[in-house]
Amino acid sequence: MKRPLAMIWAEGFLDRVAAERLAKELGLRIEGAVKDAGGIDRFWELLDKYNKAAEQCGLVFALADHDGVDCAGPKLAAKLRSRHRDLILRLSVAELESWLMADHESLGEYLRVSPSKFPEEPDKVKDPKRTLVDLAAKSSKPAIRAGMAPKAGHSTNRGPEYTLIMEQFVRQYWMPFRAAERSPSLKRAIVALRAASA
Amino acid sequence: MRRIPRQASEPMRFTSLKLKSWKNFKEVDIPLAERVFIIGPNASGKSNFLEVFRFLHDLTTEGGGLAKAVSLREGMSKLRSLHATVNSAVEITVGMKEPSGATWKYQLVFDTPSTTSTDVLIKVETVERDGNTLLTRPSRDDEADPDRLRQTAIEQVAANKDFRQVAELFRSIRFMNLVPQLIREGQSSPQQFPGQDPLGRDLLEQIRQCKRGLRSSRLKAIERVLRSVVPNFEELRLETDSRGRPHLAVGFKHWRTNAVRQRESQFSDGTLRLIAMLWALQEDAGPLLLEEPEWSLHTGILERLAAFIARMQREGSGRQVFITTHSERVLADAGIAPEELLLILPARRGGSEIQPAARYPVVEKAMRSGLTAAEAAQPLTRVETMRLFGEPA
Ligand SMILES: Nc1ncnc2c1ncn2[C@@H]1O[C@H](COP(=O)(O)OP(=O)(O)O)[C@@H](O)[C@H]1O
Ligand SMILES: [Mg+2]
Repeated sequence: MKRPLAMIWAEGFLDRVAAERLAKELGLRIEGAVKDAGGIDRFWELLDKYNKAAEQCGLVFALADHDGVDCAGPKLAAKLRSRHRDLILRLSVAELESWLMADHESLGEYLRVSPSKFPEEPDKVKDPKRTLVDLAAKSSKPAIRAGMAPKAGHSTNRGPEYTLIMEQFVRQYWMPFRAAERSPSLKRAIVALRAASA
Repeated sequence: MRRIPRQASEPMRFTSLKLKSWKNFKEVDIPLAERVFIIGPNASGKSNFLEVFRFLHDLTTEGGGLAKAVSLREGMSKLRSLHATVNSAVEITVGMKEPSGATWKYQLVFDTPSTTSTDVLIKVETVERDGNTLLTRPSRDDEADPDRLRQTAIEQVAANKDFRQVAELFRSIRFMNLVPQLIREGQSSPQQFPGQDPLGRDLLEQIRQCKRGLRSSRLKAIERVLRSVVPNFEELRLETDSRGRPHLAVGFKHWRTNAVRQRESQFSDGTLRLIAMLWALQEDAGPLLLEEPEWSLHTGILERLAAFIARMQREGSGRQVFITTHSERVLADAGIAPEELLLILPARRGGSEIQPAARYPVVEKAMRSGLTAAEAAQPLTRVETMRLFGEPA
């Protein structure tokens, strides 16, 4: 019998959706709350609580972007030192988008962009979200271009339907195992989840 | 998927707003996007802001007009700002754009002739198209017969011939503040026209009256949204009961039986409100005013609301949408641009002022780098922050 996940604690909306997808792919049942922090600050702020909860209720999968964590090195080290073994804390290298872009085939087809344009080593891309948005802006499908890329004159780094479009991708098309072949950090996350739930 | 081509149906919309002495706003001068979020704490003036557009609607609607629009708001003393110079006139100026690119400007200044009078008289009324003046009042006729200044040209069919589009835009403004209980009872209030009942009581009737092909493509779009947020949701249909009354029916995939069906009487408040809103978003109509849609929508909808609105605008008629909200969930979508966000903050000399978030360089840069409106802009409107600046100098 695999151990189920008690809870998922994610940095943002899309991280949460991806964490759920990973659990599903690994055949892990989720028994309790699936929640996101709506931002990195709150994620770290409440991580201790989830750490304590893990001690009581079992596996907690916590997922955040690695972005900016380097400068928070000491803070992170302190958190990790006191980490309970049932808190599985994973950081996608740079951003979650590297994990998603690592599945060239599904994402290329979904966004209608030639897979050959995707980065071979997504974990090494400095600004994965920007890379993804720039790729989507070249889509042959107008709905993808309009939804993923910022409107002319708008000071955002993504389009107005980014959330919905990427959510659907993660839920229905993303193949984490295939993506893990190109993203070592995703592979490590899968290995850690497998080991903890064994 | 069938899509209605965008260019053909993209309606006329508002591009700017200027106000003087309107409720708790002494002065406003802002651009307006296709999708506008208005954020501010309680009693900061979010409803007062939407009220401007409702006023324009009341000005031009059947049985409306200037006198009526003012009296519905309990007279000039309630309309003009307590923070402006004593008894200053109220001014509303809107900029508009047609799909063809033609631009319009409508300006209205009105006041009472004396502090004790309840008469409302026009001080200025002008209309411009592409910078050319089509109307200037007071005209010579007005000077000869000052009683004419009780009625705006825009409210009179005989006088608004050259700028009928503007009158029609105003009339097509719709305010939405749904009360689910009332949709269920399906009772429509007698004075309202279809699509004008702010309480959404006539939703079912409106859906029924819609042409078949259009109706099913709109219900399909709503179905796609519901599928993405409601577990096991299958289909949404319009049915008629034995007495000929319309009903919404939904089907769920159930783990035991094959399908479970429900009628609107069993829907949750949130579901009904969502359906009514998604329907309205697709209507080929004028600007839609949504007052705090978070009140009975599920969290699952709130975090996707901004994107759903953008999607419905793109797939549907492209009607302009104004949303007042304090929901952090709604504002946590980084796809919202600072150009679409209006912040209400206390003004130096009392009352409130309203500015696009893009006018605050720090907010604009933070949002450009990927911070959300909830992170970069909303904290500025928090009450404790406001106190620091809020006291009159
Ligand atoms: N004519 C006026 N002059 C100044 N302030 C006004 C006027 N009319 C209403 N207000 C103020 O506007 C505020 C209410 O604004 P409202 O739009 O209802 O707020 P919100 O919708 O943001 O909660 C109240 O503080 C009220 O005193
Ligand atoms: Mg209000």
